[in-house]
Amino acid sequence: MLTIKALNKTYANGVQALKDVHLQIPTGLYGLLGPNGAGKSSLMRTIATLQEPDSGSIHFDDIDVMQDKESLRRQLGYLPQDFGVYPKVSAEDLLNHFAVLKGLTQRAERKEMVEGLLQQTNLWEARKRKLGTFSGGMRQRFGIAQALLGAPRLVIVDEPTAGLDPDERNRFLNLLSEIGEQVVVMLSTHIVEDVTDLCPRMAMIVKGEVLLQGEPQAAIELLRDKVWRKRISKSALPEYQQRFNVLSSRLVAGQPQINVHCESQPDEGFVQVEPDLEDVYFLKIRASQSSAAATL
Amino acid sequence: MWLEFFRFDLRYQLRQPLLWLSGFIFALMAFGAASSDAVVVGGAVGNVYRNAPMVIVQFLGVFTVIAMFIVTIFMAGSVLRDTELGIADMIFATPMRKRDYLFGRFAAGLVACLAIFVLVALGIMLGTVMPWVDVARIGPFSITPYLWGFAVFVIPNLLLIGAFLVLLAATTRSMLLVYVGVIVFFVLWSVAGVFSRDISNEWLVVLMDPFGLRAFGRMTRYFSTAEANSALPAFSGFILANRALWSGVALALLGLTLLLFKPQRPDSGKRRWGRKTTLASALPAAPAQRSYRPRQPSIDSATAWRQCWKLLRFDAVGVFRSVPFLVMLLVGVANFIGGASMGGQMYGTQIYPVTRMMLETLSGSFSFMWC
Repeated sequence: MLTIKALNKTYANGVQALKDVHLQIPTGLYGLLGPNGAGKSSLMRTIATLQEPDSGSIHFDDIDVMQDKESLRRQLGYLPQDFGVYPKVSAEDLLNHFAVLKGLTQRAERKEMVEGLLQQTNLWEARKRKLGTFSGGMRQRFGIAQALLGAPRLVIVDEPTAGLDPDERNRFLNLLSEIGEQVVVMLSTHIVEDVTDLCPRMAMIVKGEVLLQGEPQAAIELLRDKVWRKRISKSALPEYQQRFNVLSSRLVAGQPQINVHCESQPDEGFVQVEPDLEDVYFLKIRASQSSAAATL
Repeated sequence: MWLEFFRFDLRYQLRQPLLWLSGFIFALMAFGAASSDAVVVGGAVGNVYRNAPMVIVQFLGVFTVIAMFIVTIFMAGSVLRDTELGIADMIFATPMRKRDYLFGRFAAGLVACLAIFVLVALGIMLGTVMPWVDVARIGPFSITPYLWGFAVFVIPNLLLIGAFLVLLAATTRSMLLVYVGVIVFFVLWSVAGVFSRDISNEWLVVLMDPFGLRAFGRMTRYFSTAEANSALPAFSGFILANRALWSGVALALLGLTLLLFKPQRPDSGKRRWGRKTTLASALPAAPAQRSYRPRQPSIDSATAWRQCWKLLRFDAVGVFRSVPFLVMLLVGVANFIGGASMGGQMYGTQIYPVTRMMLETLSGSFSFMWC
């Protein structure tokens, strides 16, 4: 169980990345959802002991993370959002190096682990190639392999599926949910379906604040009977945005189709639809935007 | 654990072409100086044997000073590389200790730099057996002066330079600032050399030289030719004191690095200086959203010229802000300030610093670029 209390962080440039964040994260996959720049990475980096919060506490089981960073790092697997590699070193050599740093000092078990991960991330064929020649997706898979070295009990993966093709993404998400049966896996993404499909629990973060946390299904249930859909013409879109709480508009065959949040049928032509997590997500973001506008 | 950092990083360093290229160039310089009078490194050989122990040690010592700028790349690079490449987060999230990290990296950088000096030593050895070298000027070969030179000058000096560079790199996290530090160090060393001529306290003069060359010079000053051809000064007195002092300083710098190095991103700390904090709310509001309207590019006879001008400006700004340019400029300016401050004198005679003299100093200050 990862427990985060009253976490705050303001960067030197004035951006408040974390505002009084409280989270309870049990074993299993935990999704962090939020737009770009919401503070997801700041939160994950702070838990991974890579930066200090201004205030607040983090506990993982009985480890006080702020006090005993090394104990946490012994149990941690971390995949940063964007990372580099040594371009002239082979994937196998660098993975082996990381394995030693993680504490896998027995040669035989290290070899087995490294080879196994290279196979699971589909890098076996490319293991002798220099990392500088890897494509974006291959490098991402290398990062995943590196994060799973050892026996991490806390896995933090920041936008892990970015740059993966659909096949690789499925493989990786399956692997993650397998791992998540025993350990805490924290996963950030802005792909809403990943969270719906995978995560029994999640949190939504916007502008450093946790707007919602809990089970995705429970959050979706709250919107039951309140999401309405209509196909409209492009020119009418601004008017609808003015009159209703438009959650999202997407083009279907070139024509906008809008989802509106409303207690009852907004007007003729709207049909009720099954809400999904994306509706919840947009509702929270719109609410946060309008409250920010109100304070200005 | 430090051994893993050492092993991995040494392999990395030894695979850098720049290491072998610079080693080769230094070896060539050493070869030239050992085999001919046309190449002079740190003072002429004089009338002693070309491979007199004193000469070999002197060569090795002087090369530690010359090599400082190139050593910077490997020593400071070993600490700066991870942040530059963006792999630092993954490394610092492992349960490694920063002590192992710094020590392993430092030792690897040191060994890599030693490889350069092994090449230099080979250059000297090879230079003295060339067919065009007067046989009468060559004494019997002995490995002792090489070992002595490595033990007394090369290793302690690399240790000191390395410790200084790693401290700078670990605290500033900027290659430019490391180079600025190197230049300041170099200038201070030269200035100390100039002023020490006026200092009567010999101990102070000898101890003030971090490279120990002045101590060596002081102890061999009154060597006869026969002595210079066959012996080295005893490792005691001035030279022992100097080496002990500066090796101690090197260890202190390493300790300080360990204390000050934070394996976290520099922007995660508080900013002590530099740009003032601007609160996000104080930033000007973004202009109102405009819809996309395509614009037809105008391509006529003047377009190429305008593009050329813009390219020139763009690249010029890039060059003027680049680390190598700024480093060379700084070295030149430091050189000039040093030269100009002594512009009123020539061979001990007072002269007027007329324009002609100052211009000569100015152009001479930048001559290191084509030497």
